[in-house]
Amino acid sequence: MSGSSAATMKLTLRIWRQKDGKAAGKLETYKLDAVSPDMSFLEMLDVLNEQLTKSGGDPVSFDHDCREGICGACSMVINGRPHGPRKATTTCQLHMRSFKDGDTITIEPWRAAPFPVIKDLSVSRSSFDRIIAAGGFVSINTGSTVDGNATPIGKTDADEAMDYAQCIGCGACVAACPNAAAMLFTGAKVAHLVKLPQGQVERSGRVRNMVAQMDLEGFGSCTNHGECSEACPKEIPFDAIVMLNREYMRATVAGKE
Amino acid sequence: MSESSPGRPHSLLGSSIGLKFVMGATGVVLVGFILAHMAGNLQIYLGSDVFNHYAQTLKGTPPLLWTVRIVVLSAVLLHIASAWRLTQKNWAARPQPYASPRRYDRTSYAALFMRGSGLVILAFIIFHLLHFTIGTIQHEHFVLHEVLRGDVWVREENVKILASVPEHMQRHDAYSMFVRGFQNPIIAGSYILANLLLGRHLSHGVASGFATLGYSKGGQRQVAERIGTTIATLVTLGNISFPIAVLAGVVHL
Ligand code: HEM
Ligand code: SF4
Ligand code: FES
Repeated sequence: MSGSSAATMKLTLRIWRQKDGKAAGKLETYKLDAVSPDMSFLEMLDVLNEQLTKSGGDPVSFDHDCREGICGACSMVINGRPHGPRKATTTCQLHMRSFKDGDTITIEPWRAAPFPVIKDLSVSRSSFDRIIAAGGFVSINTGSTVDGNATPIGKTDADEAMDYAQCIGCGACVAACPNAAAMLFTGAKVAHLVKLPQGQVERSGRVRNMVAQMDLEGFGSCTNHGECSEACPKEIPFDAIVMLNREYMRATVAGKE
Repeated sequence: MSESSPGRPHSLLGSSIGLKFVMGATGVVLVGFILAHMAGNLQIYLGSDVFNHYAQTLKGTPPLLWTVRIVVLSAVLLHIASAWRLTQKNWAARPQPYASPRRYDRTSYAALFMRGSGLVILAFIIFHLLHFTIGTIQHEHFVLHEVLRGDVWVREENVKILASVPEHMQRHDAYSMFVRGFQNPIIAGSYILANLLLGRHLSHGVASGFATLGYSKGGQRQVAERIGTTIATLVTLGNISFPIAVLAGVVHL
């Protein structure tokens, strides 16, 4: 037997509907009758939107792009958890078998002043782009090709840098944080370069400017709840925030360049 | 690119992480004070002479007394000022709450109610100063003194006799003030309650302070959390033991 084996599910959806950034939104209720457990969460929303469009309604706006867990677009809070109930899983990679027949599922956008709602579940995450931009450039030699392994990097440093570099900029950490802080994201961006020789030249300026931009965007600040790394689909460790604190202290209190 | 770009605030105290450092550093000072304060008070179990001698020594060393007072008071004020500023920023960062409750997976009640426990502690600090330092609350116990008769200190409640004894031959009867104070169950209860909340504040605060000050990476996090739990437990048990010991009659006049 191939394809779907389990029976389909009936679901009640409570979805945040908001016309635009200025309108007040509210939760609206929808019913779906035949959801396959093998559908992804976004495919389930596609089915709803098809149904809404056919009946002349307004389809639910939500962000998505890669649908394979690497772009970070599919931001939504599902039953009180960013990206839903499964650990280390983006919404697009979440399957309906994580829910049961008869479930009510509440879906909301990320809630943070620096992530203003565009429509329904879509928010603008440009504030993240501006934090990255504030980090500036990395000085690398662009002359002739460098010999392989000319700059040795220790295995643990390389591994740690790669762990931090996994951040896809989805914003779940901010959505999860009781203070809407962006320190896990900013920490991951700062920390992956700190671990590499290429990141050394601009090291202090980078952390100062990224933190300044993070504040300017209006994110909150960490009180060490640890909800961010728990919600992060890429399992960026809480260590990223400790690294951010250390780097910021090194650049400001210790005044290192 | 070490220059900051124009328009970006980058003063330490203007920044979120800078304010967090202030919280953490003042937290360290306050934890140090609270541990020392509790250790000093444990001398109540050694009897009135040891305890009153300790109180006399503190009062008799104004440079030490005033340095500690000024450092601790500034730490409290800076701690509260940064907590207030950071709280304002955090509230502004989420003007619209979630319509259905966020499900938390990792944090604790202690962490979620830091402001609440902090405010109770502030109220307690004021009450405590009015009680044992300034003597507005239970003034009748605050005025108790001992006088030196030969080479032993004895309690003297007669105000007229006290007035006739020279300064260096009388000392504050802190022991009796302490015991009589806690014989009042409402006073004892409020000390117990405040210190239970102080314990909750410290259990999150100490671990949190370690992370803020850069110590919590990898396995260090567990160490930091253990230190937090240990300090919180010590302070809570030590401090609530005093009113309980008096109410139970273990420590008496
Ligand atoms: C007087 C009223 C007080 C208020 C309003 C207050 C408030 C706060 C707040 C909001 C935090 C940060 C929240 C967090 O990290 O989750 C905090 C952290 C902390 N508090 Fe207090 N607090 C007070 C008194 C005290 C006292 C008396 C002590 C001394 C033992 C103390 C020790 C700490 C420590 C060690 C931290 C951790 C600092 C950090 O996160 O870096 N607090 N307090
Ligand atoms: S740290 Fe994790 S949760 Fe935050 S933006 Fe990066 S991938 Fe998303
Ligand atoms: S759509 Fe790209 S990560 Fe989900």
